[in-house]
Amino acid sequence: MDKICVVIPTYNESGSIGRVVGEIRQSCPGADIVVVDDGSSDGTKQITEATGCTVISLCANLGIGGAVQAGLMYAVSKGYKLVVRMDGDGQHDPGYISGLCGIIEDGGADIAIGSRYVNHSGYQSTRTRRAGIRFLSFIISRLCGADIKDVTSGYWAMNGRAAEHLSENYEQDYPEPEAILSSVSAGYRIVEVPVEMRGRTSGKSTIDIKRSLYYMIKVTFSLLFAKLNLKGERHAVR
Amino acid sequence: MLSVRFRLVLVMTVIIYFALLYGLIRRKRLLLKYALIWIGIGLVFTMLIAFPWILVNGAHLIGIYLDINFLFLLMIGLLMIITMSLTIIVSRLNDTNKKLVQKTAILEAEIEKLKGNM
Repeated sequence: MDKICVVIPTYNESGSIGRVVGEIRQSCPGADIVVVDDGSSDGTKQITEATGCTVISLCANLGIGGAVQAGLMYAVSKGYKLVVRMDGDGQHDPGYISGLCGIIEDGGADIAIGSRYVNHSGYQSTRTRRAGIRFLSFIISRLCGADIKDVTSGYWAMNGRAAEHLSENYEQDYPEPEAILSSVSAGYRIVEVPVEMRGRTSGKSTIDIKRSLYYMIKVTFSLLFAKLNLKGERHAVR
Repeated sequence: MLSVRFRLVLVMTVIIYFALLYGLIRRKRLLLKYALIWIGIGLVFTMLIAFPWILVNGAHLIGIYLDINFLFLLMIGLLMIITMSLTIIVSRLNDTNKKLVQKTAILEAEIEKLKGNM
């Protein structure tokens, strides 16, 4: 198997990042871990550096999309053929990394998304959030025909080409749904792979009730605009 | 028709406006690139003071009874254009800023690695 680069965006995850890195090393001993610290103030950077993995420390808070994008840029510049992007809060079980990457390596897809809603087991999030995710999933399927259920999952594995595409096209905040739309529209094949997610082990989710509304409005609009943009580009090519 | 007194007030305002603008640009507190839109707006007002019939006819054309109301409408419109241009500039800055932060962080990580190898 090609060498795997695991990109982990963090923002104030000092309570969990050490364990996450340890778990990845256990289940994927060969993987290179790149932690992108998005300007944490709780010592996440120091803790991560102590584990010996590569730390890309952003000097200003860019939002999760900006952090992931930096990690992807790094992975692409190093020529990795397999890139995994997962959260630093412990919700994603590293045990699935090899499975996700296996699908990419076999050529079954360019992007494999770890999904909570294929088998409906493990942590399923709250009822309102699930409704929001279903709504976004519906919009995405309408816009590009992709049938992805867990459109906000941050657990992705991808090949080098897809990583390069995403390193150039990635929204700064709440990027996942639009990343699906842009990848599918650019011709990349996405599959959803059932995974079980865990509840957070520490820290607080960055998405509270107040931001949920903003999330839905922002993502819905940005999906629609992205679609219009894609149409415009195709038109221009003709 | 605008009253003579009001036109005088407008003349004074435009003179002060241009003086301020000139001072800011000369001291490089305002980049000429971004000042162009302000200069353009100043010129629009100069035109309106010099040829008030533009205002009268314009108001008539779009069905506004008082030309002064047309003037206010115009000012609001121009302000919105300025605000929009500011938002565009901020968005562009946000983008360059993001790229800078990402690049410096990646470079920093590379340097740390090189240091470790030495």
